[in-house]
Amino acid sequence: MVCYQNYFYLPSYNSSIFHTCSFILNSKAINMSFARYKKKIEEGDTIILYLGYENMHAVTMKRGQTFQTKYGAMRHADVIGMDYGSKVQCPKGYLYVLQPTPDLWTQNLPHRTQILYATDISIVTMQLDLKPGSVVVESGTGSGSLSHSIIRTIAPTGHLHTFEFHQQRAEKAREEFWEHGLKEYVTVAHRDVCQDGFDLENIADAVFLDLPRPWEAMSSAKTAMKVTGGRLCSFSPCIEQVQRSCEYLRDLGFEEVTTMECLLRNFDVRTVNLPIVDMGPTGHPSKEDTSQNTDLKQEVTEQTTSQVKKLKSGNRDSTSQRELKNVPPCFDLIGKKESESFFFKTGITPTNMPGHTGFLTFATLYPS
Amino acid sequence: MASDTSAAGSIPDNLSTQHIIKEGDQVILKKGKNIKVFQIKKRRQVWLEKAKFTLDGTIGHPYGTTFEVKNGKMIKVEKSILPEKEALAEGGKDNRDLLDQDSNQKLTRDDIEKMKKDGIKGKEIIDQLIENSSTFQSKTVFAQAKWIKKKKIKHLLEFTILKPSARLLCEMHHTKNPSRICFMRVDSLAQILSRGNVRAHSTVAVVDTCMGLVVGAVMERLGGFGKVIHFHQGITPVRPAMDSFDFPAEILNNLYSYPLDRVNSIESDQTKPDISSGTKSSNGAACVEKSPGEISSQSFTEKLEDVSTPSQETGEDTSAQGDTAKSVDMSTPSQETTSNVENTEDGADDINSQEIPGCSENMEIEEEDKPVKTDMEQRKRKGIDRETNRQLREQKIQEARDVILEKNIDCLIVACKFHPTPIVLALLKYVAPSRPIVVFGQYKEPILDCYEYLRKDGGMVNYRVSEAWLREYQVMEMRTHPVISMSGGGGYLLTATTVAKSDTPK
Repeated sequence: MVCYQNYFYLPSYNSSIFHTCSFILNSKAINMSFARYKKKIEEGDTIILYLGYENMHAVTMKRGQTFQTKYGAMRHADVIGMDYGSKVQCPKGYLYVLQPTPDLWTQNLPHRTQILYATDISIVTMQLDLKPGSVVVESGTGSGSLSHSIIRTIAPTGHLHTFEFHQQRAEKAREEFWEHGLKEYVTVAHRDVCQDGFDLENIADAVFLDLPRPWEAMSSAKTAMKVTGGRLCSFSPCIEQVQRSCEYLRDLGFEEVTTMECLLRNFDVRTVNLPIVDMGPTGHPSKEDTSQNTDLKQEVTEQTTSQVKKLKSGNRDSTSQRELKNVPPCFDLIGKKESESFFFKTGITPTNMPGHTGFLTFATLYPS
Repeated sequence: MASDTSAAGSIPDNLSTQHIIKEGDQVILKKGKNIKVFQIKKRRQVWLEKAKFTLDGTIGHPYGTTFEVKNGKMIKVEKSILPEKEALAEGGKDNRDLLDQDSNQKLTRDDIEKMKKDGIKGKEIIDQLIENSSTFQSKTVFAQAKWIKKKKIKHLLEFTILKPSARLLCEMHHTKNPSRICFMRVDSLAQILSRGNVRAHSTVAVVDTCMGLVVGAVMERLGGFGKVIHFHQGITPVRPAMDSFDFPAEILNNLYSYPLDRVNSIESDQTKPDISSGTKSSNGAACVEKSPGEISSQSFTEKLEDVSTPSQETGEDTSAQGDTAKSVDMSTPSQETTSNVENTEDGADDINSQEIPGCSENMEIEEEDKPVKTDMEQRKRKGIDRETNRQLREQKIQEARDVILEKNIDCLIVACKFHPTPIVLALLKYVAPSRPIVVFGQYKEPILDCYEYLRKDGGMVNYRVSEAWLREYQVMEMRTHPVISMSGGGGYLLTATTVAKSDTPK
């Protein structure tokens, strides 16, 4: 039978190169709320308090502690033992307790660095062909935003080797993975891969680089990749970095070098009430009167008429006739038209949105 | 398997069999942006890029190897160490003296065709074209590079053989038949999987009329751990895109199927209402039970033929069974999808007409030359009494039903051509609290509608309606800019997180 993927990966690195695990998590309970779905909240779990859209907090449960929300204090002890997804009544309002997903974690994690957000993370995961069993090399670890998503996708049979040149950050990340019950899927190393390389050979299905000078790590990244080939991704905010990275990748024998950018546009669903202008009774030939209308109303009129046209074309009945007779409003998919206004639901785009995060460069290494 | 080691002698020792191209494998042939899936069968002719050739030459080589078509055969291409650094030393200053004339190229079309027939390599043809071009030398260095690149796309018949993956299959269908996967762009699929938190050890419900592409992508992410329930249209699920993934049995074992036209009766469904339709199906190919293990060994085209039969029967069912009508009525009122029955048939025709001329021939060959892997099993199955098949199918549906009724689904994904609101409202109660749901749609309005209904219905938080935007870049020395053409839209997404049911204000 064809074996679909490498289920049994045994780390074959030389452990001495890794920063030794110096800290001990003494009495801290290790929660599994990240590793698998579970029903009840236990002490030690990191949970997400949902107060409203983009108003969330990640809190680790510990008896005796309270957490202050805008709805008042919430005692951890009251929440422990509850089902995930429950509604919690606070003095001045209610909130929901959610189980963290890598997505929610990305929205709520403590920032130690600039992080990768959900949109880019999803592209990276897909474009690197990640799945359970994949072995991934990542640098730098940063705040562990992408790392959590990688682990989610490659567990339980894959492994993430993540490298961070900032010692405290590396330790903090390691501590977090431990606390989140992800220890067995990840190896955190404190190391400057640009200077010292990854010191890994033929183990990786995919490599992710988020470095100021990614090209300095590319040759070593190539060595880290499996002989059967793999995918590489480099995330860079600046086009000059991309330019140089692509050159290096091609020189190293990587193929299918592709650079892309992905943005997410959110829609706010609203009901809009657009006034319909009074253009006076019909039959008056004076065109000059209308052209004198130079205020804002003019603009609205144009919009409205185009909307009405849309409505008309979409409706079998003549809307204008109904309007004249002042018959009850008609409905259709686009909106609801009354004598003085046009109501419709629409997805409104934000006036401001992130216009750029970084360029994602992907490349394939084929078996030589 | 015995055949693995026989063919090419150049396999490195440390490659395991899964990385070697074998007969019976579903493989991707990739030439730039052109991607197509084929099943490797000895002596079978395939048509691609106006060429007819066999894939026999690829057997025994590792995945990721590039081959050139020569005399109807696939020959491995030895890659030079420094590939694209061409000898582009000399070039003109600008194009002021270049005239667009047919006489610029001395070689005629017939000359080129003749060279191809004589089995001259694509690279040599391009060299000939350069030699016989009166303007090439006076082009700028960049223009020369662009010219060569264009000629390569046209004349080089080089294909890289890859293992199918969600990424490649989505790209392929999005380029070739976007309407059949609801215009789902690869970044949208990526979002669905991430936002749905699809991972090992979870139970995922997928409403998929995208040829099983989403089901396949989810199964890839589960890697054999967890369960997938495919809510499908018609009596038997048709998922050619999923079959291309070539999943082994242990992964397919986690796949359950449940017909959409029985969703309304999930709770009461003890009486097996399928009996009437089961008897009906005994006249067509659809009665061949597609148990997961079996389906993968069939070929793409073969299955597409089946598509029309079960969908017609769906139509018949509508008259026979009252509650089926609902699902039929749900079809999106667009020109492309007037009624789901018609649509499926159109789609099947679509593919068939898009298949290049050799298609029917391929299928004939296939008839004689059965797949090797699960061939015996399949033949045996075909022989099994139809009644047994029907019962087997019914048993599978009941298994799926049991999973659904546990009300512990970890993720609900709706990616279909139907209006999503009734589907989401019907299935939401089977999703556990604090879990993501993802609704994908080609059009914005139904997604907004679904959002409004769910807001009213309550029981969820963290709603978001979004659309992704994807732009590619050409990155070259002094020539970096966004790629000229880009996709205008890759679909809309609604995501939300479920909360405990007792809190549902209803």
